[in-house]
Amino acid sequence: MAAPNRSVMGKNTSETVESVDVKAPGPPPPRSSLPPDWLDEDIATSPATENQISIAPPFVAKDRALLTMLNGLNAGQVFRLEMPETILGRAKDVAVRVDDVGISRNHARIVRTEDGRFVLEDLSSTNGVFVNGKKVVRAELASADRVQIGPSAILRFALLDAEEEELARRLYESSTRDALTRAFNRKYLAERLTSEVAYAQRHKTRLSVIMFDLDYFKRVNDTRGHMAGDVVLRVVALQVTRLIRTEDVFARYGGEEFVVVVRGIAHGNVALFAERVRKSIEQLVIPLEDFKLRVTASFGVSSLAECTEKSADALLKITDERMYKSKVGGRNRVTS
Amino acid sequence: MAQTVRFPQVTPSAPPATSENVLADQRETEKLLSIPAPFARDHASLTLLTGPNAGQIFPLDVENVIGRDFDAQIRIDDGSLSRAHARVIRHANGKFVLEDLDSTNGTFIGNDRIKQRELVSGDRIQLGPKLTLRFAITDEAEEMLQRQLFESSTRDHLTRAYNRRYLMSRIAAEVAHARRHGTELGLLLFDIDQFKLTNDTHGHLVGDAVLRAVGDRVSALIRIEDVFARFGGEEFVVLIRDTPPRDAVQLAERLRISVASMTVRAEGAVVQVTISLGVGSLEELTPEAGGKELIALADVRLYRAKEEGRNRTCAATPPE
Repeated sequence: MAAPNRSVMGKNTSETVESVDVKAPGPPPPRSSLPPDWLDEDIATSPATENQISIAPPFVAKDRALLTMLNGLNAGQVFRLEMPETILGRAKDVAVRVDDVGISRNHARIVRTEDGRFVLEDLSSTNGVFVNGKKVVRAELASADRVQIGPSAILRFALLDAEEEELARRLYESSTRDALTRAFNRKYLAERLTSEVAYAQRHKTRLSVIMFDLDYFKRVNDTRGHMAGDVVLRVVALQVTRLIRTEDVFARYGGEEFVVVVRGIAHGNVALFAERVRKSIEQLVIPLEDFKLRVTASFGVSSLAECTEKSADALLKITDERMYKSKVGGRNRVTS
Repeated sequence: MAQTVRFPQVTPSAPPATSENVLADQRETEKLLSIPAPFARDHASLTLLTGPNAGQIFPLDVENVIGRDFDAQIRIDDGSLSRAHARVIRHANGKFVLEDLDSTNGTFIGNDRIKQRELVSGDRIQLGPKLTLRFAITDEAEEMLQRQLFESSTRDHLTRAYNRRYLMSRIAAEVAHARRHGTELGLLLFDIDQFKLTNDTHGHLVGDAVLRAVGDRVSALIRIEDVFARFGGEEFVVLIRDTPPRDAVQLAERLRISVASMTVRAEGAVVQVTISLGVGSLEELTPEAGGKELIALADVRLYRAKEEGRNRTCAATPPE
């Protein structure tokens, strides 16, 4: 038996949030128009809010071949394998760009055969290609296979239907947190900083940006492995989260680069705050499996008032230049 | 002019092992260090594919009742579901079996209405006329990624306004900022009048079009720094920073008049809608009050606007 006609059924069941239009005779008691659970921080599903994702037909073909990044800065990103050949690598012009340590420029490719199968091939990469943990030169992919390229980048291959693909894309596009550190991601930072610049301009309020980059982080990754590198990033992010105020926006800007957007504070005090964060990172002792690690970071601080062009990009650019100054000046310092 | 300041080092040789700055919480360290073993596909879950919470993931236990009931393990509050609609049982051999619990609208896998069937990873389950879920067996990393993506999503899929989760965290931040700096913070809460009637008369596709049209209109009228969010079914919030109450009321009136002048055409229907608004500002509240109290204040006024005949704004300062 086929699924019932959904649009017709939908009408019969389309109740919305409990009716608020109660006509009480006489003065009404103060009553809330909100559902009783509105105080919950969690989203309680509002009763029968209607389908918000278009309904797919009853028969749904799993005909979308997708690669999903499972880790890294772009965890959750979805690539659809539409072409007869898809290259994976670090080069700027490849279809599936994975900018990570140990990835070759053209690392691997996935070929769609004429009969609709998908074959993964290593393109003589330095660090190899793995499927479900096994090193391969050439392998046919099955749905749910896990593809690893280089030492750390992991992707999932899957055959999905249109609705599942749409959902995966929407979740990624509307996500705002970096999966590893839980800091806001770069996309959110760009959006938020633009709105903060507009606000600061309109209300003549202060707006500053702190940017920092971990010193010699590549060395940690190379000598201790990327798992250790990941732990360092998480510990540092956790520490910074403890130091900032609720309204500050803390984001991961790049591999080992972070940004804090600070509102309403005089420039000199923002620099002092950056110095506190610097000291605090320097004092961290990060326990890894069999040894302890210490890290430092180089900082740049700037304020919107200093920018000739009042834009998020200009603000980030100046901050980045100052951070670079800290790097060439000997690292583990603040330039403001 | 940029200047480089080298701050004096704090006794670089002595490791401040007892300092509070040293990773305070041991438990958190352990969590950070526990990296899941790769490729163990032992996490069975259901993912919601439709509705306002599309993307939500439910890990599966031994017995999992899916339905509208409060005590259902997988509670989905949707009117088209039965209270206890179906259940998924994990058998001793590790297999998962889906059973319909004599639901009114039926349980389907693919095209088939089923009474009981073993699930295969990737199966699409449909409960009733419109709710679909995907069954999958994945590993911990994958399940975690999906959960994180869902939890960090901030936009409502239909209207592209911010969702309620984001709004609540953002209000907390804005209240903290306004308190610290002594600035003003206003909040508009509005609701589409007689929305249920629109839905019942024209169907929920038209209802969705109305929500989208109102969302678009409001987005176009507010400033880039204002936070516009969908709060519930047909309820929305606009959080406005550093704006005196009088200006907040003016904005509310602008939104109201603009929405009332709009005509929504969808699915052959032509609909005109109005909104009722409640306006509150942080300075009306006690110093301890936070975001929830601010919403509650606007809500009382929204309710009054409804009582007084809808299509109006209610605030401490009356609209001019």
